Amino acid sequence: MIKFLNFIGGFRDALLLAICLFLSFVLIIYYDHDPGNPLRPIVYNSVGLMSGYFFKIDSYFELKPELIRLRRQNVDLASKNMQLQDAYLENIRLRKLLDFKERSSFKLIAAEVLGFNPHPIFNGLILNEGSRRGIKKRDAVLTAEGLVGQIVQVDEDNCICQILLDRNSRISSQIQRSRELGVIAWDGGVHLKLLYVAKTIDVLVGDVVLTSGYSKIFPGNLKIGVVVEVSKDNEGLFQDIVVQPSVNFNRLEEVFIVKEASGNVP
Amino acid sequence: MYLDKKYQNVRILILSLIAFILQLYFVPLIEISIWRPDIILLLIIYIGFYYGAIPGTLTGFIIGIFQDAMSPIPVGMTSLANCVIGFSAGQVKQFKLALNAKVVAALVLILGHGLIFYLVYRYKSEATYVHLIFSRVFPNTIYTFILGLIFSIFFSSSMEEK
Repeated sequence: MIKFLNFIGGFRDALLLAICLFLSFVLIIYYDHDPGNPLRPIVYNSVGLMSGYFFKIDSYFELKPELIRLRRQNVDLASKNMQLQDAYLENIRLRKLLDFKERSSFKLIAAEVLGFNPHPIFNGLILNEGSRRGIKKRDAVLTAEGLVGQIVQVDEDNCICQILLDRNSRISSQIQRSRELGVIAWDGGVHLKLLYVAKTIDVLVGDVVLTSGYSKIFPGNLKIGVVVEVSKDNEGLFQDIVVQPSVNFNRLEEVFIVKEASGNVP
Repeated sequence: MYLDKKYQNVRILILSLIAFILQLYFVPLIEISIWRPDIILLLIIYIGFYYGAIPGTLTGFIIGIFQDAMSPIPVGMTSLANCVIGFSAGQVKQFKLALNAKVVAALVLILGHGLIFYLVYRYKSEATYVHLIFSRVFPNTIYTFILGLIFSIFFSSSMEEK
């Protein structure tokens, strides 16, 4: 028995590697089917704690609640402003239509950005709100400047938001001026690209791109960005349209998660 | 001897925490397009080179679990690649290589980590393995390697053989 243990001890490096590999495979297979992970709340809370200690200024004079209230108000006003602009254009186009449905409002939940996702394959933010506040997978996330992304992972107290600058992000969108539809995707750099807009469509630099509303995830008329480059030089059927996102993803501190959206901006 | 061993574990724990914080808050500031250096991987290679295969494997596995816990990918994918690289770095230690050879070995290990990780990841992705290698593995390897060289210049005195 002792000889056997000594023999095994000679290979303990390889044995440890084999155990770790086995555990990794088991975890991959297990969590592939069951995404709930007991480690996630611990890690998120630790990151939140670190953010609180090292990277945030404490709200000694209760400035933080006031700031949150003002930002929420700012998002509301920006949304209403965008809707007014949109309503003006829409009114001109749809003057003859009857039964114009009044747009319904949505509820916003403020969330702090705890940090960036550390994984090299995924561009996302870690937020400090979770299922306890009613956050669900695929809830839209925005700021006063425009759309940020969608929730892709939720735990009790935290969630992960996939931002627009992620290779798997696709959003049904439309050009505000012409109402032409397209799909917004990341261009791999700091811009977005508007896909599937035919070369026959008139698109100008400066056109505002909004969410289309033809999606169960994103309400309509949320600002995504502004067209900064249009090219028809390629050999395909569609234009190459580069869009500057309206949100500065490097400076996000607080975002709003959309709840109870029913199609369009209030 | 026992005291050294104890401090070794404390040192690895502190280094892991620092690497994790840097990966979380510093790396997003220096990313170029979609390419990010992997400071945690550099730490795992460092631990393998200077403390051996067992600390390298264990550190890689445990940090990988935490990395995966913060991402919407299945837990275990990063830890799998990390522990293989930690183990391999520990095997390199046995050869008592010169610094130049260690640098080359580090480059091979960084590349190996990318190849292993994306080999598993491709089953969860629509992208082909070849595309992932050219778009992610090679750029990330180069960026991580350059950052590793910079670190090795600044911390050369603490990288003496233990």
